[in-house]
Amino acid sequence: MCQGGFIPRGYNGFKDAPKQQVRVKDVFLASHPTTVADYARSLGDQPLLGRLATDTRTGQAHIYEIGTNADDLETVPLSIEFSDLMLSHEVVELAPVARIGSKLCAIKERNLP
Amino acid sequence: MRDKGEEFAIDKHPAVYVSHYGSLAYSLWLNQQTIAERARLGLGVFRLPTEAEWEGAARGPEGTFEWGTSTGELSHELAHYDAEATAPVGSKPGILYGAATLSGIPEELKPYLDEKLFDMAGNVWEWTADWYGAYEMVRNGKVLEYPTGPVLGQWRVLRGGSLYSVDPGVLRAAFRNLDLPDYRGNDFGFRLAVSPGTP
Repeated sequence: MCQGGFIPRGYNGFKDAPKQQVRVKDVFLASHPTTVADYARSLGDQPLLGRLATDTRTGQAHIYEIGTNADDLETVPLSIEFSDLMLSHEVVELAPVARIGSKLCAIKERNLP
Repeated sequence: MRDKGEEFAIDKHPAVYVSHYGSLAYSLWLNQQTIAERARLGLGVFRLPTEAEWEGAARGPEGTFEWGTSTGELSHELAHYDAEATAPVGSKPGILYGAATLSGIPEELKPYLDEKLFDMAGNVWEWTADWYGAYEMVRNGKVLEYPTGPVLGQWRVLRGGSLYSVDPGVLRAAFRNLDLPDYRGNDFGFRLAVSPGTP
């Protein structure tokens, strides 16, 4: 189910970046955030796959590889909390297509055989 | 069944529920799709902006904006926040950079450039490339002009505030939010950056 009124974590107690040092050099930013149309196009007809690792302390699963081919998943950068994980090597299909406001809720996440 | 008008409108909304990893996967895909084009234009790979790059852009051409809006001020006419749903990208006025008229930019690149930067304040939180940590200003005795954040970390930085932000403080260009890189929030999105370089 879609959830409304979500408050992102980390609102309190975090410091601003110092103002005087931020500069932009030789970089082009996209003029707007990546849209649903852009993102959906990247998924195409291929499923987006992820490999799961399970945190042995909490039982929570995390994605540590992502790609479109189960034999050739791209390793993505890990956070340091992954160091104590037991890897389950389970491959799942990800479909992170967005819920848009209250109009669409199309999250699909299922295990592959 | 949705009518075409509604479908079109949805397509123009920012993608949400995208984790940091999801944004990396998208940039991988886009880089594969654009190798020849980037080579022709002399551009490197698409990537997430560093938070310094993001903030530098949000602060406007003179680096003085408190909020990343067209005037540097905050109002509902200038940014999408305190709302119940995302807004189509570009529905608020953008920050005018006039990039296509800047000197030093190759002529062939100009058709790909937009004059304005939209949705820097509000609409969706935007992932940046940086791990969250102390915002390092000096390393090995040298002042960092273009900091890239810690080498490792647990959280990734997000910037800009979102449709759900009520407190104007979190929409400021300087405010740092953070979350686990595999977390997919219903107001978490991203925008990409690219620099001149080898494709």
